[in-house]
Amino acid sequence: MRTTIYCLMLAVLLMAASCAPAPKNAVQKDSLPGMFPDYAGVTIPADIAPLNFEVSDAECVYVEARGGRQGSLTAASGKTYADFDIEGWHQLTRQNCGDSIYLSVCALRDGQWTQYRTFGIFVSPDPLPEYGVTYRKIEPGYETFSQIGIFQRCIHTFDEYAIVAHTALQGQCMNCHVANRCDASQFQLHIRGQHPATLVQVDGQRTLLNTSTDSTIANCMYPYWHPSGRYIAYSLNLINQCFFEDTTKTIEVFDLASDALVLDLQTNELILSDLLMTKDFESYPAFSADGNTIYFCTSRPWMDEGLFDSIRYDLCSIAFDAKNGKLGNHVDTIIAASKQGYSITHPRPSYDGKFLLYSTSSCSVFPIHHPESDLWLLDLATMESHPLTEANSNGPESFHNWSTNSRWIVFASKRHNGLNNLLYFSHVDSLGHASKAFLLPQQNPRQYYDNLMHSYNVPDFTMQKVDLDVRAFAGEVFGDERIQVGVRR
Amino acid sequence: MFFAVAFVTYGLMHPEWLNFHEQFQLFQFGSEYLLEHLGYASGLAIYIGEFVVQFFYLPLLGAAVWAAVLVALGLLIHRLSCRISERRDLPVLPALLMPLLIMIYQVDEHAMAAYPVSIILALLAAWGYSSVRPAWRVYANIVIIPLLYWLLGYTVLVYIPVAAALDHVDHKVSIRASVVRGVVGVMLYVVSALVVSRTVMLHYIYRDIFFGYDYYRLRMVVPVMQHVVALAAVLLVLLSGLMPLSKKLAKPVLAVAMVAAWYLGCVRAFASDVWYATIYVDYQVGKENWDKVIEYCDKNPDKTTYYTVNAVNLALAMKGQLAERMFQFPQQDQTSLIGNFQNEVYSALATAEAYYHLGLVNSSLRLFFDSQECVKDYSKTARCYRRMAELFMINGNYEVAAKYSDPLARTLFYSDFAHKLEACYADPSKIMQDPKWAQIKRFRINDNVMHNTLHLNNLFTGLYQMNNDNRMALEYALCLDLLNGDLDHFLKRFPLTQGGRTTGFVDIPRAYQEAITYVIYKRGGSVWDLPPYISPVVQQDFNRFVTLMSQNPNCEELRTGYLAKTYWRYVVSSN
Repeated sequence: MRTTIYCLMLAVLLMAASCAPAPKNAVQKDSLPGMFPDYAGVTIPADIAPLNFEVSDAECVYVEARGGRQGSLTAASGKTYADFDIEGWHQLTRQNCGDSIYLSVCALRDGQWTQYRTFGIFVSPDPLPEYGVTYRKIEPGYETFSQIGIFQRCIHTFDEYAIVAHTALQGQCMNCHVANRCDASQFQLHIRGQHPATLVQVDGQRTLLNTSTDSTIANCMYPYWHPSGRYIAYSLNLINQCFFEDTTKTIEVFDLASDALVLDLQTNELILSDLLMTKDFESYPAFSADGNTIYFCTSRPWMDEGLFDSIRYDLCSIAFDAKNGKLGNHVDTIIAASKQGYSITHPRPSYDGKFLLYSTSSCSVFPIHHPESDLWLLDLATMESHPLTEANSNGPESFHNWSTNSRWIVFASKRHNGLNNLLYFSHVDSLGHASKAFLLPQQNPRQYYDNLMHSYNVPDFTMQKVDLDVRAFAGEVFGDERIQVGVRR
Repeated sequence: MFFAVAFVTYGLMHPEWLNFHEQFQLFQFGSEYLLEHLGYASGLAIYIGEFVVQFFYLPLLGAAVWAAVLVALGLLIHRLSCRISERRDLPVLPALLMPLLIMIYQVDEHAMAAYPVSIILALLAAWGYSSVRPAWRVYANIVIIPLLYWLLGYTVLVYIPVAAALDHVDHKVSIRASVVRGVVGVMLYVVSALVVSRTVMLHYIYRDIFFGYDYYRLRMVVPVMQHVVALAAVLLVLLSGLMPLSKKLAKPVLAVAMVAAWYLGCVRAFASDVWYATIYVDYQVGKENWDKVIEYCDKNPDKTTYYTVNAVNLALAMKGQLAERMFQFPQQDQTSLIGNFQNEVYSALATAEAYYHLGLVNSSLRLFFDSQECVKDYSKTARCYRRMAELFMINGNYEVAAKYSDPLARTLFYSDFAHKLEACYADPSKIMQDPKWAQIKRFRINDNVMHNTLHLNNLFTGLYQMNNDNRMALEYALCLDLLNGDLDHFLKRFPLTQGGRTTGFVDIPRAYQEAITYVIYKRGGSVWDLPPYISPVVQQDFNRFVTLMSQNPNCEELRTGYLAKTYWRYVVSSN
């Protein structure tokens, strides 16, 4: 019996040894390892999920992470990727807030270890206290979809949960899960298909609205909550798309018409204004941090020019009186992008009122298919804009949102392979400078992202885990009972 | 004998049934795919069902495997009914009613193969249960029923009464006690399903939780036959012993009845279902058996569907006969050549194939993707993945191509193809070694050209002008003009054929001759105005057509005779 125990112990030791080989006689290389994801030089918040990464062609990876201030952690599980312990990683990031963590990477190939140049990851003193991010997952396709769902992911771990999966709402399209300033207790999402509805859930109370009226051109589309929680600004878009045979751009999504308005959740009325329902196209409304202004994008009907490359949107604003639910009597043009030959979409004011983040592209209302699309930041004090060069890439960046403390942004980008939108995070300092963006961490990133057939859409931070009674909700969706919204001017 | 019948039915008479099931799934080896299936109730049965269906890729092998599965089901029913009736002399024949019923049920193409597999697994579990010691049986079921529910889903309801009957037979538990055990078993199933619905399957509807997630391809539907099949399995096991089969004529009568049921429920049902024309033609399109597509559509004009029209035009084009023969087949309008995608898997699958051969890479990709997304049970399809991987590779996006070929590499029958693609990613020069890929690469458009469905003929003309080897593009352009009745544009484009030489004909194709004859006639010309390349036969036919039209436009000869299969008839009917 004792012999058996010794044998077993020996076997366990041997296994442990073989799983955690310490590099011996490593050849020094004065370059960074070929990593996926590329986390070298990124800025992260404390307590983010471990930044596991794969080293190209490595049979085994050994990584030592040493804090600039204190602490260290080793990823030496004998895998082809650095797999950090979650608790150990969190502790290391907390210990080194405001300093860097230095990673020394060794990779084993053909029995020979190579040690690469050490690189740093800066741990920002600005926290990211949110629980996680919400997003839609859908295959990057054209006209149809099957496995579609709204999901949430804890950013401190690798846990992902469905908010609504396709198995619950079979055959229905769902989009635009948007919370009020990342507050999971107030959110809305649209259901499209045979049973359309706009769900508004406040403190667990669900309301399913029919937002189609005789006075408006379409259902409510792109939403943005008023900070008070009483209003949601929407655009109404008659969306169409066309396809190209070119290899660089395959799809152009465009509007045939669009307006903007505000939904009053107290009265379930749409607040209309002639200034936001012109023959021009108004889209992507967003309330300012104080709720007194609505930023939106507007374009002349592109059909007047007849070409898709003439679709160019300006950034405008209109006052909003939350007390009386009234829209202002004039529109201000903030950035006349169309005159400068480009288009602005997706304005997103930071919650501290300092900045406004937006997408630019050479043309288009839907930059997701435009590789030249980038993120720009408008300083609302100086009204000067600059590109977030460190966060941008050669691929399209779009559908961005702020963390509650306005120090972190999440956005979707196709930079990885040109097809799938993935989630990236970047730190924005008080002067509006962005850090190099980092990809949403995964336990085994190469395996996860190689096998991922979906795109991430409309990401946003969420302070808490979203709680939706999905089965009751599905019953209500298929039950077709809706509250019809009214209209007031 | 039953094996032979099933083998002939699927392997020789209806290989398209096998192909239909195989091409709308993507079974992959590896722990990830297995674990994905074990993550929901009934997942194991679905997994094994898909494992079996992958062999349908080779029709004869698939038919043999499926016939073996059906026979195994029959034999299992027989063995269990012998146990329960405590008779060793029970004939096998009644037990074969079960696989026969399955065959009839599965004429409905949405009835998934996983369901009979699941019933076999439930009966096997009951067989294994009979070896559990009597004292442990009640406790064993507390584990077995929830476990079986998780692995098989709904068909645990087949296991429960059979297990209860085995208790009665093996250990002389009273009938009343057996019934109580059965009822408790059903309650355990309900509790298991409810627990699952509140925990791990929060995002599934109750129908899927109680009746199985993937036993029927259409969502939100549980066909009555699914319940009938489950009930039949239970009744055959429990009551076969009571059948009066000892009488002299009983067995022959039953055998004749079964043959009749097979003929009416299977053979006739397959034949009378027009949907199977689509499935059959698509099977041949998938195999690129163009002659068989043409032959089938030629022989079965009464089974014309939206898809078969698209497919036969594609087949004719692939054989270089489009302009010669297309009006010998029913044509509707432009969509007969280029199908409109209509959120249905077959609405544009043939068009996706046509775009592939024409070199319209992005459009082909789009239609393959959208067609796949219309598969009713949300499965991915090996056929579409295969094409998408090819097309992404041809476009030079090897990383994305690998996303689609990696799953293929984990299959039994597509792995060689996937490895061929992988070799091309590593060394793109190998793409040009494949004649078809090389051709598509030469044909594809590199400019920023919009795919405008209103001006497809211009797009096709552009393809031809970009590369004169792309004769199919020119044929599509001209034939679209004919289908649209746009003879002005047809005449402008016609010189591109260089008197038919570019389309590979010695003579001008028949449809073009007919169109030109028609135009000259419409413009007030006479037989003397016809160009010399209009053949005497066409002139003669046209004279006959004009005569009949002036006498009686609805006469039999114009409606069903050879003149009905001309462009003249098409264009006059369209107007």
